[in-house]
Amino acid sequence: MTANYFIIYFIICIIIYLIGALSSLFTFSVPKISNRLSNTCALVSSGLLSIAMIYKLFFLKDIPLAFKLNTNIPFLSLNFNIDNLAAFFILIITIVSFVVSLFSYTYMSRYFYRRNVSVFGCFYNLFILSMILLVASNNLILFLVFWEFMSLISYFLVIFEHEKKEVQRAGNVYVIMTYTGTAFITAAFVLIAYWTKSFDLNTMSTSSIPSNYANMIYVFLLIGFGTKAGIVPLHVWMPYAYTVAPSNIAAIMSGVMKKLSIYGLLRIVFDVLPGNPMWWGVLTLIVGTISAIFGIIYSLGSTVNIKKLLAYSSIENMGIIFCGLGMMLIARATDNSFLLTLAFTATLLHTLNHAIFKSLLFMSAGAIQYSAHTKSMEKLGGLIKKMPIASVFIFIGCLAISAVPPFNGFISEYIIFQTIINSIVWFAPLGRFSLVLLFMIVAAALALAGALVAFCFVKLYGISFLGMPRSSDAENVKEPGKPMLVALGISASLCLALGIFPKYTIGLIDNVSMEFINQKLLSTNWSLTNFMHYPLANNNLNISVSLLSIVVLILAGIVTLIVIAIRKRTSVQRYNTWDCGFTKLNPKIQYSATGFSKSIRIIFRGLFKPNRDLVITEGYGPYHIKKGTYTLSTEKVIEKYLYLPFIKAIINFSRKMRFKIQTGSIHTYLLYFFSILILMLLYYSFMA
Amino acid sequence: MIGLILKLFFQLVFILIIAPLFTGVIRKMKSKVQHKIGASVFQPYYDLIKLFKKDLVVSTTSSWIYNLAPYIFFITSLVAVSCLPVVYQLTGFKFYTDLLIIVYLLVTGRIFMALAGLDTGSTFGGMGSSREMLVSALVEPALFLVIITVSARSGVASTNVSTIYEYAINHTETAFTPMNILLFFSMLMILIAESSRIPVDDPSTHLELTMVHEAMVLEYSGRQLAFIELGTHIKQLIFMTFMANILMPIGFNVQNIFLSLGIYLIKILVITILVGLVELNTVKFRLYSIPNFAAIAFILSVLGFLSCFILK
Repeated sequence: MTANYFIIYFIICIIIYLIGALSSLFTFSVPKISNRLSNTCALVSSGLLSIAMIYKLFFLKDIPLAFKLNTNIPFLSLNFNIDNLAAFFILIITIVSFVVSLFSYTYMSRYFYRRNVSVFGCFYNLFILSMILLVASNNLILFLVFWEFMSLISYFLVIFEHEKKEVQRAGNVYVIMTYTGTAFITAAFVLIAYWTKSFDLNTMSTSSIPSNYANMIYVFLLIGFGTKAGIVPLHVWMPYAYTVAPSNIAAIMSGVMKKLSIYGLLRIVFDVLPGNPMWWGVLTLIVGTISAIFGIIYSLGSTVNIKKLLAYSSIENMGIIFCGLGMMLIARATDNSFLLTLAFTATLLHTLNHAIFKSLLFMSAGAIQYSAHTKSMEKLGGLIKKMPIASVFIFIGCLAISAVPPFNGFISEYIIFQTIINSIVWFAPLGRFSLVLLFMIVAAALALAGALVAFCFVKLYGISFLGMPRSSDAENVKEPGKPMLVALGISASLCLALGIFPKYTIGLIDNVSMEFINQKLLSTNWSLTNFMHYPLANNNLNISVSLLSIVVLILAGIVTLIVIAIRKRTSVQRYNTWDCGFTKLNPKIQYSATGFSKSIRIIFRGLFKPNRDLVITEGYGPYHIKKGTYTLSTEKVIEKYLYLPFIKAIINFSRKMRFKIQTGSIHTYLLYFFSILILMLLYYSFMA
Repeated sequence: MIGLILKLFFQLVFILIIAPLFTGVIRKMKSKVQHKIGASVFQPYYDLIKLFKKDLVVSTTSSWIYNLAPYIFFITSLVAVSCLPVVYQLTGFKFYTDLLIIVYLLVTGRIFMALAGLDTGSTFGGMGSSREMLVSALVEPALFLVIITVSARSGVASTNVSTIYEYAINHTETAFTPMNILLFFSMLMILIAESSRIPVDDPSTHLELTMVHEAMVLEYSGRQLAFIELGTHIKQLIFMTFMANILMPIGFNVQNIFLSLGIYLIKILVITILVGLVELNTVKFRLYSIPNFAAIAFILSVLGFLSCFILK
């Protein structure tokens, strides 16, 4: 397939998205048909594009695919270029949107006749389309245009249930943070274009940016893209937006939209800015580590709502990806190509894996909300018996994010730790002890974060699915519909497949890294006869998850045979759980989600400032209470101590200055006109 | 190929046979110091045989996770210990023996046990699961720093166990350097936390409110409990083998396999006696004092790391 056929195929897929958007809009009177149309078009187009991208990454890896449409708009040329990095990110977008479109078939049926599903379908297709075109664009202005499209459309999708007050508030926070980030990105792009005299990425003269401007550009990019990625302290919109958004939108936002900030950073920093000083990488590494720790501690200690837990967990994973990015920048500053490849592979692999298992987890939150009509873990329980098949897939998602072998989360955590160890070994003999200390702290922080992730998802799965149902909603749960089950199943089997055969994913990323940084990670050519052993480039890292799985399966087989042999002599009796002989078992005596994580709230109380309040309405004294209200609250530390004073200062300042500037008297307004005119005349007479 | 399979088989059988012995040694030591005669050193074996013959009582609230968890815990502990060959003559299979694999296999086992604790719908199960996940999360940074120091000290950044063993064997002069001693004591504290010994958790308590590990497995009976207990003994042996073979690099230049097995057993016995002494001389800490314990283990491993890389 030559490049031209590929480009025509790409444009056909774009047109299918547009057909999905428009047809969904035109059938607004029959929500069922418009839901089906929009999701089918998104499904078909995403499936076709993902197959095309895999084909491109394996077979067309050296062929540039670029196409251009000329317009008369100044500075804007519709210049698209799909190189290997763009193909990788389009692959992530299309895999996740394929699965989520399948999921949305039954998920949106809750909203029929109550809200406008056809407009949702139209915006959904346009959202995915804007993300794909963002990644494919080769022009900075085009990038910004699609970035703004993506942000605006996602705002409308997030506030889908717009009559509730909390949704409106969440939408406000989201749109303010997103546009602040976009402002910083625009500033950075304008600076780049000023120094390189062009907006097109392939006609820029990249070596003429002076270094202090490059530093400023990098800080703006970090703030701008970091707002979208959700790193601390720019993450405050995430718990709000992800809790109120419908679960399929939350899956796409968390799985895909945040990764586009990584794409933006990789593209601009590596393709446009020529070299970088060390402190860029160190800053990114520190920011990533703080996000990882902060995200997981908040996820564990302050959430009862499943989607809020998943939102904070996304912050943690984006922190890990930013750690990988920071290590790439440090390696680039010291010209170490092996570390650069290793960090690049770690970053991209964790991006892919996180997209898959986080979308699986958000879809499972959606499935739980669809069946049980509640998002709070305190009202769930015992779901594993009511939805047996879905609970297996959700369990696989929880295992994958906790980095359990043989799922895909383990592979990316492994490679990240190998990057850290290699960095320590590289920098220690050179005498850069501050860097070695930094890597040590990063390693300890990531280890703590990894263990707390396991804690967090044991809490999620254990409280929601195991034990006894804690409310009547949870008792009446039924298995979700077939499209939802198939969508969850596809994601879960992808998690398993990518974990057992990581060689193919790493081979794919190698094709990306060959073009991007001219290095490869896997050294030998792998073939089917050699599938058990694949050393990495410096011959020091070998791990074979396939062989490990085989050993585990053999041992499991032996243990099963032993158990079958001895089970005939013993009997199995089913009886109630031991209740100490006191009370009948009721669901209230089980551990609750708040109680499960109380130890974390107490140990890290500086971050939570937990507050207990007991108000006794009937009864007297502390030991004889007949009725009372007990409130337990935690605070969001960054929002309260960083944002709120700043916002209050701005509001106070503007309230005071308002009456001094807008006095209401026409004389001052005329004075403003006159003085500006005089000043401009003076300026042009002296400067011209 | 056949040789590798035989080595793996011998390693697993050897571990299975000797693992419960060291728990018995600790219990016998405690009784002797308290002027009691105490149960025999082989009592854990008698307990296991008794448990295999007993009937099972399974709670009606539980699901397939409860039934599967003991086997997953046992198998992951077994695979993890097969990654750490007990003597040098048994190394040879290096395709999956990796220190990070060991850590993540133990995480897998722990996740399943914690979920099984929540599965029965009892309060004690939830309490045990919460506390167990907390304790293991708090000692994880120290464990990772020990692993990173051990794998990076040779100048070759490899977490492969064979490479680390070779470094330990070729560099027996590092046995009593500050780095080794600091890492040894950090690992001792991690061993105490992970195998649920005093001062983190009392393995012989009968009060449910003071339990950490026992409360998770309160509902188990029969052969499921036997597999869990065997898994716990093996988990203890994993950390002890790590300490004996990597952090005590003495007595390796022996060719006879039985003599080197004997030296290995003596090293494990020394570590067991250390653990027993710690158990005798301290009491169980409050749950919220365990972060202090974990912090001390972390500081020791940080000092070990620094003395390896920075204070050369």
